[in-house]
Amino acid sequence: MAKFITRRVIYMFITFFLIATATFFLMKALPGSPISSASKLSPTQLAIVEAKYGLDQPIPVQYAKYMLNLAQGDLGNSFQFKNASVTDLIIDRLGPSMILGTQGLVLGVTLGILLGMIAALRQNTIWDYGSTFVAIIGISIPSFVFATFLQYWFAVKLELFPVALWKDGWMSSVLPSIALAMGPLATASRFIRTEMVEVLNSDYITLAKSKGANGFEVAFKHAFRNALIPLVTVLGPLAAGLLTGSLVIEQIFAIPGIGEQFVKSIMANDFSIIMGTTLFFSAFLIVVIFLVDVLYGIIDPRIRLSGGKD
Amino acid sequence: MKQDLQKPPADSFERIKIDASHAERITKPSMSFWQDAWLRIRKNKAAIVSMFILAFIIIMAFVGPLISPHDAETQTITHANLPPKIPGFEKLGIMDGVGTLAGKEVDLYEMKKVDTYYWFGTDGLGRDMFSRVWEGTQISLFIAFVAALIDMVIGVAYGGISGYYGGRVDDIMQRIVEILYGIPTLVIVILMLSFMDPGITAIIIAITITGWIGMSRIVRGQVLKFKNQEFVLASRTLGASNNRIITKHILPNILGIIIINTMFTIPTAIFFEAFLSFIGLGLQPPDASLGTLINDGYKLVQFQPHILLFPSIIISLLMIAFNLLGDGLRDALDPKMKD
Amino acid sequence: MEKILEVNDLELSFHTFAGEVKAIRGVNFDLHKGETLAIVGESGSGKSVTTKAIMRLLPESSSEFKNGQILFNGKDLTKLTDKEMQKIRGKDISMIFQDPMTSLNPTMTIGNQIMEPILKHRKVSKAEARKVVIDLLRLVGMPKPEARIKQYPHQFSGGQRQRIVIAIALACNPQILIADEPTTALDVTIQAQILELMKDLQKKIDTSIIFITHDLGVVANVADRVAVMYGGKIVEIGTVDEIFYNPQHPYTWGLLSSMPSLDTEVEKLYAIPGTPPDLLYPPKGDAFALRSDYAMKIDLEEAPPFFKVSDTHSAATWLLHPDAPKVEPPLAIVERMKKFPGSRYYEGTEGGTY
Repeated sequence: MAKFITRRVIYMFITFFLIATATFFLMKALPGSPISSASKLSPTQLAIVEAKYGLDQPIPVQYAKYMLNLAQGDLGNSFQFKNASVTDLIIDRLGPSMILGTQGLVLGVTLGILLGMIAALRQNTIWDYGSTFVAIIGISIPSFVFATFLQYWFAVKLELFPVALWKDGWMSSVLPSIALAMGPLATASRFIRTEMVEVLNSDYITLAKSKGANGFEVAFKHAFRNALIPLVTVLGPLAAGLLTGSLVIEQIFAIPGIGEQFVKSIMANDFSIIMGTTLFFSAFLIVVIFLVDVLYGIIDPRIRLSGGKD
Repeated sequence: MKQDLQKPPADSFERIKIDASHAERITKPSMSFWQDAWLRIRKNKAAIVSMFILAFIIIMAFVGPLISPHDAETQTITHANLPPKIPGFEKLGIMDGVGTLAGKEVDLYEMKKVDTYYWFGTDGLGRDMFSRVWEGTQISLFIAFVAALIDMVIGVAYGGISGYYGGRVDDIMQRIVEILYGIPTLVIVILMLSFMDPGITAIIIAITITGWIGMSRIVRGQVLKFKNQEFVLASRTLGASNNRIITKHILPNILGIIIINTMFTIPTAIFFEAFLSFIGLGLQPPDASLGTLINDGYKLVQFQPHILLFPSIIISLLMIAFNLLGDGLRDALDPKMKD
Repeated sequence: MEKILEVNDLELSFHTFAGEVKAIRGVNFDLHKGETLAIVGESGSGKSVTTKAIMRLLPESSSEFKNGQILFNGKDLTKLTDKEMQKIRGKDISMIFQDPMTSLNPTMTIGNQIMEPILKHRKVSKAEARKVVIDLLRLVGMPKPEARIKQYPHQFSGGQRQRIVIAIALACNPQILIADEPTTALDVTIQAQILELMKDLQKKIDTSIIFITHDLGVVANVADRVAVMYGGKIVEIGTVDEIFYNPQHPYTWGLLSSMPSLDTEVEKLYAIPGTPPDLLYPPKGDAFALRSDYAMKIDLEEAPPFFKVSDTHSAATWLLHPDAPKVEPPLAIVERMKKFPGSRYYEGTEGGTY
């Protein structure tokens, strides 16, 4: 296990290093400097600004500086927000994004597991078809379409929830959380259904029945745990999906989160925020995927004791 | 176990000769893998309905702009923001050209003195939404199909080479994939797009740049599985070339999985294109895809919901139909599900 | 001997996509106290289904009892509610499965898995149950049971896992133990160990065993009586000696001829031609007729009743009808029959007639 973790941590750093490098050189490969394209400055002014941001130095020096700063958690300064530190900007925006992400994930996964269980235990009944239908809808309808319609019906037409803005406390987070939850809900319910059906047909379930276990014990004591463990493996893709979702949903509901800031920066060509957020997202996903692998090893006894799959 | 001594007719006990090969005769008609798969998918109602929906949408994407009395580009400012109006439907009270203006329900066509029909209404510049939606569908489908095709070609080649040649080649190729896989797709895509000129090519490159990885992993796994199976070893012993083994033995066996996976790549590509266009990284005007149309519609949803409604319906139908068809194909082609 | 289980005219069908599969088409047998009854037959003959029907472990949505009774101590198991059945499973009747690699729950310690039926069916505390578990593991020959009860199935070898499954089955001293091909998935040497263990255990605890197998070598080793199944029916039933040395049904002849043996000089191993009947459309008469060299006209028209050979032996074949022509069984069978007192080829002290 220790060897497995060490190996994974090394990969994590290599991956992150590569992303950071790629991001940096992509930016450098751009014709002109980000400042010249964004503002109307005289050549002298431009030179002053470039010197201020260190853009007049040779590229390897800039790269080394950038990487050193990155190692200390410094993502540079924003061009857009009066030179504010990108790290601070991200931290400021973290709260709403985290609340939404957590609510969406918990709601989606919980409901998804429930739907998947019902579908598997009531196979080929109306319950099963119903939850399969919900899952297909959840996977198919793009989150921004779903979010827009939620907003249109429940906020604009029925006026049950605030339309947008993060001002009405928890009520403001209800619709965006539901919109975010659709993806995880669909993924989890399809996954759990497939796993449960397979587990329920397995020999050890027959053995459990032959011991005299009743339906409840069979479903929850024996089948549920075995169906649930593999769900951990989709948490990585789910987290990635949440990020994708948050970009548009924060935009639609005007929530002051990281995603909304990111999209605005893309529009405003604020490269330091784009780069900073990109690196932040990458780091987040890399860590999630790593944690998922470790977690899987911890909860599955087969991997726990044999020390990793590879 | 009582003795049954009732007397059967005397000749009953004549010995008869039964040709044993008779019993070995296969009674069911033999079917190829694809015939069998077709029979299975035909039983799957959802997949069949999806096929019809897809066929309809694809045909309309090409025919739609032609049958509409208005083209997609003409801007008739006086006809701006008209709700949908379809001949025949108007008497039913829907699609009758009535919309809200300043809180009141009025027939906007009458008010603006428009005597033609806009089936899906018009946008803020007075362009015909019907033509625009179908042209957008065309572009979205084009991007999705090309992206899926590229993913498939690269993925199959990469995974196939890695799996078939194995050893050092496989080792190096897999380390590369392992690192690429660690990089979040979303991040790469957004990064690529912010540094490329926006357009169809940029979107296709952005979608495919990591899209092939999934396919390559699946193909590699399958190739590894089949290359050591007895029928391949047998063929190798008989002197078959690599070429022959790959084309005659391995490829036919993994074709099903390649098709299924490609089927699921298409909706993912549709979604990504729409997503990127929605956050403003995708196509730029005057090009329009379903994603940009939804983005336009979203901005006006409070006043002109019809602009959002139609592209949303089409994209949702496309996604649902592709996913259901993919599910159906998987059930039909996956030998694991065979009884 | 006291009958503990009586299966009468059992008929059972599966409802599938293709139609109704008549998996069991009238099965009759008794199980006596303390005996081992082996049920043999090819795959698809209905032997596994019969035992799963006794345990009521078949999926309720797709299987249906069409007729007959399964009397356990006078109670008809087919008529019990799920709750009543749960009280019998694991306590009075328990089961050992074919593949020990898949029949244990991978995420539960083996201690908990063995303890489950004890806690469920006996009124004991957890500590007492734990003691029982350790005793059971010792009984099935598991070394260091105290340490191993905290381990998970993947930490055991196939043979050890089968011992654990046996321990689970024996946890409540069942009156009937059903073993569904318990050695098929194991290596030959491990097979022998498990068979030894089962024979040993039967001596120690007085339980009746139904032993399902397609391996006649195993049957000779463990069984007291044998029932031969074909096409969803029992075609011949008798003591081990009767079935092995005085078989009457052409199918039994085929089975025995296809058994490899060290002492015969036959070069080519016999194979029964053809394939088992499709139970979607079961044949009208004797299901085996189409594959038999001894078929008669009547075989195609009417299913044969059971003809008694001795008090313990009967077979369902028209060949035993008084009007039927006398046929010569295959040579290998005749060789066998020569050794059986009471068979028509017996070469006892007087040398016999053949």
